Amino acid sequence: MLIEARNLSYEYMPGTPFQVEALKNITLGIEKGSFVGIIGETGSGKSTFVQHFNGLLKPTSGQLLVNGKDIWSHSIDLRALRTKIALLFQFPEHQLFEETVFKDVAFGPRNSGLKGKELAGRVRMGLEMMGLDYEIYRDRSPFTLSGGEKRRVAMAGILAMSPEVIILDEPTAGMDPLGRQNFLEQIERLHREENLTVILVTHNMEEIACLADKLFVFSRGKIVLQGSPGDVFASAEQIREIGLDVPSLTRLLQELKKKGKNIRTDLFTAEEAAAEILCRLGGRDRL
Amino acid sequence: MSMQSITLGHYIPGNSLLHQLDPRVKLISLFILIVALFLIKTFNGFFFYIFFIGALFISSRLPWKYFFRGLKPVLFIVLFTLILHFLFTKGGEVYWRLGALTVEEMGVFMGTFMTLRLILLVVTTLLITLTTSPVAFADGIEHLLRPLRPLGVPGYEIAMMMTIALRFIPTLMEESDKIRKAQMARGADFETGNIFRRARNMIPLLVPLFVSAFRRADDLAVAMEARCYRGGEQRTKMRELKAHFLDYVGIFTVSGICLAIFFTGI
Amino acid sequence: MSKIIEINSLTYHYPLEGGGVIKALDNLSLKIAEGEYLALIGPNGSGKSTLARHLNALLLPSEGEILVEGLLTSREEYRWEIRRHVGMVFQNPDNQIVATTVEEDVAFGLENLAVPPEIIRRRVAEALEMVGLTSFSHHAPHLLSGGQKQRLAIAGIFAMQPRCLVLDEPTAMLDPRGRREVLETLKRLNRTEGITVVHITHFMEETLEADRIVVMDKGRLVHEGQPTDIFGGDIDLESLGLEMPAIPRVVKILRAGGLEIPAGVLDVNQLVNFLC
Repeated sequence: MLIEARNLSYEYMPGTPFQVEALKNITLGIEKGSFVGIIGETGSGKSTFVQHFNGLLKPTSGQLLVNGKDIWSHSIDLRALRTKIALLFQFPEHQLFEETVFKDVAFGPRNSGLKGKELAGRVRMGLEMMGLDYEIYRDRSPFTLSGGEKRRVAMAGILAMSPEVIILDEPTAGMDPLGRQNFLEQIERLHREENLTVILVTHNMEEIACLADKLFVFSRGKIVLQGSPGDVFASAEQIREIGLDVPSLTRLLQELKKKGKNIRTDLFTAEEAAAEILCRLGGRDRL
Repeated sequence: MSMQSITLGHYIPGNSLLHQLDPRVKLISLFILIVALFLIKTFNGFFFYIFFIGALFISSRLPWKYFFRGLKPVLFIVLFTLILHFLFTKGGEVYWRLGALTVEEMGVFMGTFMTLRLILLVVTTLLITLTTSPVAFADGIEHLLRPLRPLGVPGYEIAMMMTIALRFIPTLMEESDKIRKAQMARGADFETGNIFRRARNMIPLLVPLFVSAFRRADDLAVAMEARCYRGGEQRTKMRELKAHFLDYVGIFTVSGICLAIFFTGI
Repeated sequence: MSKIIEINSLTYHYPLEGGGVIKALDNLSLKIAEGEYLALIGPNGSGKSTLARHLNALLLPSEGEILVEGLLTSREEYRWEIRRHVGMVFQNPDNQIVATTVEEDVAFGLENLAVPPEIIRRRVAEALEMVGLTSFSHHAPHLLSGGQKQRLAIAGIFAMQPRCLVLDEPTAMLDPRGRREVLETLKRLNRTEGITVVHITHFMEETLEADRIVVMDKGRLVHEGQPTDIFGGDIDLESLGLEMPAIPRVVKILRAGGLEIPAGVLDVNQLVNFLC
C-alpha cells in the first residue's frame, strides 16, 4: 500500500468548547498507480482528510502510513515527503506569488534544494506537462495570465517537484466546460503515461465517474461508500441523501433497468451508454 | 474552520444589564470612568471605584477567567511600572536597602497606586468590550460621531469600514490558513531560521493574501454598488439605536460617580 | 409580452493596459421579456459577465443602448432606479456579503434605499422566509454553507423587490446540494413571484428548464432558442467550448443509430418514458 490510513481521527481545536470531530476513525488504503476519487459535499471532511497524506495535518488519533511507515515517526522528513506526495489546493491560482512564471514554478523544487540547470529542467518539465510552452511563459508575470493559464501554472509548480502522487482538490472548480475537459484529459494522460498516482477530491460526479478506479465517499467525517464508480453509484438514494448527485447517464441506465430492461448500469460516457441502449432496446420495440 | 471560533474583541454574548445597555451609553461611560480613574487621588477612592466596578462585574455574570486572560498581555507593563516605582521613586521612610538600592515609602505608595490604576483601567475596558458586540460598537461609534459630520468626520463610513473589517476577518484568516498550507505543500518553511529569514519566508504567504484581499475588496465594491450603496448619506437602519430608561440611569450613575470623586477629592 | 430589458446594438470596449482596446461586446442586441427565465451560456471570455454588468448600469455601453423598463442605463438620473429593479448575484458567495449577521445583510440594500426601519424589518423577514433562511437570521454569514450564502445574497436582492434578477455563475463554487438549493430558489422566484431571471452558467444541465437560452461567443450573440433548439443536436456546441448535457448527447447518438426520438427529449425522465 502506498498510502494507508489506520483508524484515523481528527478534531479541530481539541480541548476547547469549539471542538469539532472532523474525521472519525477512517481506515483506507491507496495503491500505487491508482486513480482514486474522494468525494463528498463541502464540510464532509474530504479535504481535511487528504491534508493528512503529506503531513499538513496531524491525526488526533490513529495513523497515516506512507510505504508502510508512520509519517509522524521521528525518522520521516515531512518537507521531503511533501515533494513526493504533492497536494494542489482548490483555486490554486490564488497561491501564485512570484514575479515570473519561472520563479513560481521553481519554488517547490528549489525548496527541495535544486539549483541551476537541474532546476530549469524541472520547470520546463512541469510547464510542458501542463501544455504550456516554456519559452513563451517563463518570463511572464503570473498575474497577467488568464484564469485557466494561472491554474495550469500552479499545477506545473506541483509537477515540477516530480512527485509520485498528486492530490487535487476540486481542480476544475469555476472552469468552463472546455477548460474542464482539457484539464482532466491532461491529468488522465499524466496518470497513464507517467504512472502518477492521482487522488482527485471532488463533488463533481460526472467528472470522476469516467476517470477513477476507486471511489471513497465521505459524509460527516466518515466513509459511507467505497468501491468502483459502478458499485458506488448503485446506491443512488444514499448518494443523494448525503448531498451529492448521481451522473445523469447512470440515472438513465438505472431507470431503464428498474423498468425491467436488461441493461448494464456501469457505463459513464454518452457513447457507451448510447451503444448499450441501442444494443439492448433499440432492435426490439422501436425500430 | 479552525479560525471560525475566534471572536474579535472577545465579546461574550449574554443578557445581563450591561449587555443590554445602549452601546453609546457604554462608550460614553467608559470614557467617563477612565477620566474618573485618573482623578482618583487616594486609596479610598479606589475602594469606592472597585466597589462599583465589582458590582457591575458580578451583575454581568462573566466568568473570571476572561479577565485574567485579558490582563495577561499588560502584565509585563504592570510589573515594570511596579518595579520602576519601587526602586526609583524616593521619599519617606526607607523600608529596605541593598547597597545603593533602596525601596522607600513613596515608591511603594506610588507603585501600588499606579499598578492599581492600570489594572482597573484594563478591567473597566474589558467589562465594556466583553459585553458589547463589535457590531453594536460600530453602531455606537457611528452615532457618537454624527454631530461631527459637518466638520467632515465620516462617521457612517468609519462604521461601515468597521463592519466590513469584522465581516472579513474570519474569511481572511481561513484564507491565510489555506495559503500557508498550500505553500507548505510546495516545501515552504515558515518555522525555522532567524528573524530575517523568517520574514523573507513570509512572502509566499503575504503576496497571495494581499492579492486576494484586493480581489475581494474589488468584488465587494461592485456588489455594494449593485445594491444601491452610495455612501452614508440618506441611509436608514433596520435597527435604530434607542436609549431606554435604564440607559439614562446608567449614564447618570456613572457621571455621578465621576463628580463625587472629583468633588470629594478622594 | 412586454419587454423588461431591451439591448440595442451594444458594443463595449475595454481599454488595454498598454494602450489599445478589446472589444468585449460586439454589436449585440437582445430583448428580455417580463417574467422570462433566460439562461446565458458561453465559454470563458465570451463577454457574459460584461453583458450582465450592463444590465444594471455597473458598466455603460461604448456604443448602442440598453433600456431597462424603458429607462436608458446611460442616464445618470435613472441609475439607482435601474439598480433597484435589476438585482445582481455574483459568483463568489463570500465577496458579496457586507454585514456581520444574516438579517443585517439582507437589510443592506433597503437601508441604502432609505426605506423606513419598520418596513425593512418586515421585508427582511419575508425575504429570509422566501429563501428558507429564517432560522439563521442572527447567524454570522461566514458560518453558512456555500449554498446558504448564495441564498442569502438572493434574499438581499429579493428584499429590494426587483423586477429582474441577474446571476453571474451563482453555482460555480457550490457543491451539488448547494446548487440544488440555489436552483430551486431561482425557480420559485421566477414561477411564484414572477421575477425575470437572467442566469449565467457553465453547467449546461442547469439551463434545461430555462424558457430561452442565449449562447455567446467572442462578445456576440451566436445562438438563441429554447433548450430543445439549442441541445437538439443541430448546433455544434463543442466548437464553442461548450458541451451538450449528457442526455441530449445520448439522444443525438441514438438518433444517429436509427431511433426516431421526437424533439423535446432533454432529461432522464423524458428519455426513459420514450424508451419504455
